[in-house]
Amino acid sequence: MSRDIRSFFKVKKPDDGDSDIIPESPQVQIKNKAKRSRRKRALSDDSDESSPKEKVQKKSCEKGLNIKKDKSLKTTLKEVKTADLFGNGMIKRSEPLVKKTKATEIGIHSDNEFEMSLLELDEIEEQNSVNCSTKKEMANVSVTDKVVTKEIQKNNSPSKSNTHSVSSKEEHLLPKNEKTNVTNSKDAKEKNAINGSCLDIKTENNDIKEDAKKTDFSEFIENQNSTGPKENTPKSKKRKLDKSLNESVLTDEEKYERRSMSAALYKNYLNRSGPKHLGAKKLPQGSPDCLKDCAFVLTGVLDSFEKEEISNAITNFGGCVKSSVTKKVTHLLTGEDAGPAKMAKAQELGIKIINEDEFLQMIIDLSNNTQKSKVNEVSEPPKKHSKKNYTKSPTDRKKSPKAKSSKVNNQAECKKDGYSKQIDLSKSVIKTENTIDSKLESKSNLDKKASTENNKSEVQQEIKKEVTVNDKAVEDEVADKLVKPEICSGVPKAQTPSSMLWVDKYKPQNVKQIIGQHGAASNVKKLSDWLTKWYANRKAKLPKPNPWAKNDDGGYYKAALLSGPPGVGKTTTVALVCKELGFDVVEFNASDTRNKALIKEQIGELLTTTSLSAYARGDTGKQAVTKKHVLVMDEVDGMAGNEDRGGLQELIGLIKSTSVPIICMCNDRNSQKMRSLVNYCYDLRFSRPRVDQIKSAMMSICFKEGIKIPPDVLTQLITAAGQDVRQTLHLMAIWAADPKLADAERLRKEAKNIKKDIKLGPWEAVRKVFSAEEHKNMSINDKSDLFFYDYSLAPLFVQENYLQVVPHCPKDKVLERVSMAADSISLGDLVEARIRGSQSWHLLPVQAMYSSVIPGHAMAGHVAGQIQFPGWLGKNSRASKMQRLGQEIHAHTRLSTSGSKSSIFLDYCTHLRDAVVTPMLKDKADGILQSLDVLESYHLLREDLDSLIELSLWPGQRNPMILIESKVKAAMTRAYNKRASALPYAPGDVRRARARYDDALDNALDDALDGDDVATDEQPDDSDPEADALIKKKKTKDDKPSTKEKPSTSKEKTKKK
Amino acid sequence: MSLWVDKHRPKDLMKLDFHKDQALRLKNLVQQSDFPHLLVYGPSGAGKKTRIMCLLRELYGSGAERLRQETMHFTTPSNKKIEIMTVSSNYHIEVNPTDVGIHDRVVIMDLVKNVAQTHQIDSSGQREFKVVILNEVDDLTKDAQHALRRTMEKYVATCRLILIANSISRVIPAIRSRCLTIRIPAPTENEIASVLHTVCKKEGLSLPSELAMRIAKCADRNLRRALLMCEACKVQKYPFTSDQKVPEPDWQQFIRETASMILTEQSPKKLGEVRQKLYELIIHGIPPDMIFSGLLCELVRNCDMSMKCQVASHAAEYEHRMRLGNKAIFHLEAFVAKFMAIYKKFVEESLGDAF
Repeated sequence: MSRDIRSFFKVKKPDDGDSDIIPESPQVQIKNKAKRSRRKRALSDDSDESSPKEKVQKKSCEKGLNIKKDKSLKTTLKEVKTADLFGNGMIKRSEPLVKKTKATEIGIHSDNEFEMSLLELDEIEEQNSVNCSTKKEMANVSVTDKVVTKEIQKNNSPSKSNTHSVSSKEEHLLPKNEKTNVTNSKDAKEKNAINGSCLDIKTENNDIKEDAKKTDFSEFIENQNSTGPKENTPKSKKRKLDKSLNESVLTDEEKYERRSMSAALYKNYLNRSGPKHLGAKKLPQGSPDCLKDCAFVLTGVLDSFEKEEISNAITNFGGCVKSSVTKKVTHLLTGEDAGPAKMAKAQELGIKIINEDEFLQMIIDLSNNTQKSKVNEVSEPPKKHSKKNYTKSPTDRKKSPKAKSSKVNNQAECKKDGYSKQIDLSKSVIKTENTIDSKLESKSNLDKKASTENNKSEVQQEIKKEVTVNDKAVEDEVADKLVKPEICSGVPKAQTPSSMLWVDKYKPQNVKQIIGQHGAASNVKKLSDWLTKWYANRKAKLPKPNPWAKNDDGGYYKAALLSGPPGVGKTTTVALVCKELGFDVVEFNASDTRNKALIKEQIGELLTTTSLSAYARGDTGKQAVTKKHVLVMDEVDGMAGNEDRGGLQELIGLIKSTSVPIICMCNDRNSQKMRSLVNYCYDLRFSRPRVDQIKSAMMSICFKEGIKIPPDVLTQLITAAGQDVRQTLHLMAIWAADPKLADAERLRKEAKNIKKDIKLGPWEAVRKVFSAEEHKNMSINDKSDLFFYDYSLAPLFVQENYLQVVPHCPKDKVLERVSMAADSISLGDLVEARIRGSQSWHLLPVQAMYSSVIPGHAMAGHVAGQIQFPGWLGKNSRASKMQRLGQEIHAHTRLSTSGSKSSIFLDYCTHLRDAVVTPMLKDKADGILQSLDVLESYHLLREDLDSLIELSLWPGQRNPMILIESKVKAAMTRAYNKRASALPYAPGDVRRARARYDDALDNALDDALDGDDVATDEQPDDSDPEADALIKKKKTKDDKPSTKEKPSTSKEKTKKK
Repeated sequence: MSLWVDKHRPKDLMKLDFHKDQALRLKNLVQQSDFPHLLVYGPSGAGKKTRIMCLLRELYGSGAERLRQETMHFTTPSNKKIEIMTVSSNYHIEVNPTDVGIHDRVVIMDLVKNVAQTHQIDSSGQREFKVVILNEVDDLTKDAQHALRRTMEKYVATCRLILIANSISRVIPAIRSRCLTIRIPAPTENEIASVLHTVCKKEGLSLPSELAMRIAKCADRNLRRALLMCEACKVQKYPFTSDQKVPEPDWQQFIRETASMILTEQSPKKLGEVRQKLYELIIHGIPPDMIFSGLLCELVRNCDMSMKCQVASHAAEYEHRMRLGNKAIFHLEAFVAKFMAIYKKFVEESLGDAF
């Protein structure tokens, strides 16, 4: 927004400068300003981020300061062009008479005459408002020949006004153009020809504008045409563009302008959308071979058909579709954004250029066996109409009645009977204009024309030369024109209700229309209260509320977090509440990158600025500048991954320091990602609206749309969609579009199908797997789908619970069924091993059969008990823990035992345990030494004793350590710590395990390894077994890692002591 | 103070108690100053490791007995750091590659290469090769086994591999053919009894020969188990009496209990209880194949001949599946379910015949 305004201000300057240089009537100046401003706004409106343009504009402003230099440049420019003009005159000699005279006439007129015409034109302008009505013009045309000339002038006048609006220099140049008209008008015989040529000039101008929009090089081509017309072939546009920028004698200002425009045009091309009113028109029923002998080339985007549709239709009607313009092609069917190269070539080859309506008309006419020429005439009106549009201001365009404009055309044609050539010319020109109107980019149009030898093109060439005189004017007009089509293109873009999604069509327009948000405790109410009190609350400095307090109005919080399932109206609520309270919404959603840096820069800046959006709405005065805006962070739970790294943290930081309300939205507020954010936000939870709430709203929509859905089906539909308003609407829209679903029975069936798409949890799924009831109306695919709700857990759930199922079969068969199920489950495990082992995921359906469908089939019945969570997971983790312990013991005893790990489990563990424990049991404290001897000879740690006991303890057995008196145990631990036997391995892993118990001792542990510290080690409190434990390890000398730390740590220790 | 089993482990080839002719053969082999790679296999408790340590002593002298433990670090291709504990002397290194699970291939490649590529520093009067002992070769992944076979040939000049396995059926033929396979059979019960006598003699105890035979029988021809049981007997009651109770391993008791549960009642509910027992066995690190064989032995006792065949074949099938699959419990349970179905049918039929 700020950008717009900046450009708004800065653009003015050059205008002023220009007007300073060449004094003009004040009216003109005012107009200039007005037009400028309008244009700029339009520019920035249409292009989302047209930074290049902006730059250009800025630069042009700077240029405006050095106007005087520019002035001199421009004057030289003028001179060059007159030279061109004369040069052209030379070429014209070879041309037919009609044109020659024209050319000479141009040369004859003196400057006085120019000024005369200028004055005349100004008068006309005054008479007719800027938006001069076409009606008048038409009347003029029909009355007398003289009036025709007037009309011509009128036609020109707007273009003149355009030139006025841009720079006053144009005025110097343009008059020549107009003068030709004036002089021509004097020549009665050639009146029509002139008429044509005038139109030509105009169209040419328009063409050029359009051209310049795209690549800017058409003008350059014109310049070159005057010297060597045939040099130009549109090979590489970009290069030419560069050339044109470098070679042509243009001011910097102009260059920049062109560049920006070309950028804009290219952007347009990239953003070219599909047909705007797809399906709005119907293809007429033509006779099968009505388009026989016709070859078409399609270009641009048609208004209401896809290209394929049209090409199919053409082939159906006996015509053929070519991809490029050749001599064989008879028609060029153009749409919006038609390819300029094709247009130019078509003109060059004299191919008819028609638009969509003309094409449709053509089918009708041809199938009625009318003549082609007629078709052309009939199809002309729209062209004329469009041309007329150009003479008017964009707002008037819509209103101009087609019929009248066509009349004008017809009348003109009647008069011009004798001058068929000229009429042809005018036609073709009109056509091009038509294309311009629909934002055609006829880049190389003129260039091509120039290079052709035929009469038409020569006439055009002539005109072009005239145009080159007006080079400047044209250039600046380009700027105007660039704006205009975009403005008008905005109008048809507004979608008609019929093509809108229901979701958009029936979007709540005010807060009261939001479904399920009516009550006093509703979220809408809370949110609007919170928002209104926001600024007051900031001053009040409220205490943080108790998280369990009810009816908190969120006064403490600077941000609100709206959470709830999709389709319940979170975003709608925010939008409407903000609208109602007059807040401007600044929204960031998942489509924006929201990482730390960006949030800090962009959003942080936004929060401290004031909004000028009121200006855009036309407000003025103090209200226009408001600080009332809200930052809406939509889909905050989507802020994840590399893209949005650190985004949430930054958002929290932002909330702490914000000066505007922030509203965040997410689906699941309990998710891990949201955990930190939740603490800073006023919690507003949206629950699903009740079925009847949605239903009533849906019924009214059904009524409006005129479709009948029985209430019970509607209920079913709403529950099937999970009370998601949006999805319900979509589903209804689909039903409405499908004529087959007209009767209630079908709808009922359909609603059932929809239900299937709901996700089941593994608990429900496994219940269904074994339920005989459910099996009745399930196909095998449905059954295997139950597996796929969660294919990693499903087999475990089935295995855990199949024994609880009571199968519906004779009692003596039960075990058989169980065995069948178990067998299948075991096969399923084989498949799974293969899947996981060799990534053969294509086997999943096979596993679905073995692990879920077959057991389900074998055990079909009902589940007697509660569905249990798979015990395998817990058992497996216990088993792996045991394995780990066993491996540890194996590693420790490695030197003194033979045998593998399993021998520890099978044989050693019990006996080792007994060897250690029994002496203590029997001899109490006297047995301690013996126990420790065993531990030492097997290089076991004290912790290993615990693992040994865990390994060897079976359910139903008593832990032998319980029998040992605690006194003995303590004494044993102490004695163990004192002994500090050498270990053949680094007890690093053990130390880690120890760290769990007390981290504080870690340092001491390292110290303990230092042999020098023996004396200090013995001191440590014998009573503290943990501390002693460290000491023992101290004496183990073989520890590699510890040796490194020795010096420093030991010092530390001594310091401590 | 070690347990008897470790305390009285023979250290010299010629002092071995059984398979003496084999020991002599090994000695001759070593004395010829060179020997090929060895693949030593046999059931657990037969004395494989003991024999190999004796062999090393024969090769390098007592220096081979000075063992140390080291932790070696490796990095897998996926940049995972793994560490493995090795036992080594100056002349040999012993490693248990299965400790690192599926990354055993890395260990084999790196460790064997490292060892094999370094020559002995002082080869005068010593062997020119080092020995690498790999434990539990039959549990190596196929990848690791394939990694092994090239290294075996390549570094034959500087190192000899001694592979230890319980059964060579899971060692790929390529490795089998590159090694001299030495089978060490489990000692007979008489041999075990005589070993028990000598050990008791060394300990200064008198062991009744009947008790020795009973222990030998209980121990399932596993000398380690026999010695451990013998010591446990001594702890329980000394002086020995010939009718003394021989303590059985807990897990064997547990399997027996499970089997009797299966035999008492056949119902889905009982199967659920059996499942918990099986879980318990697995948690305690009892290899599932031993659970299978233990269960089968207990279960078939009450069956007639035709049913024995049937049950055994089912057990074999499910055990096979268990090896192919991931979750042993599924297959154990399927076997139990199958047995229950068969047994119940059998019982009902025989009851029907009776009436």
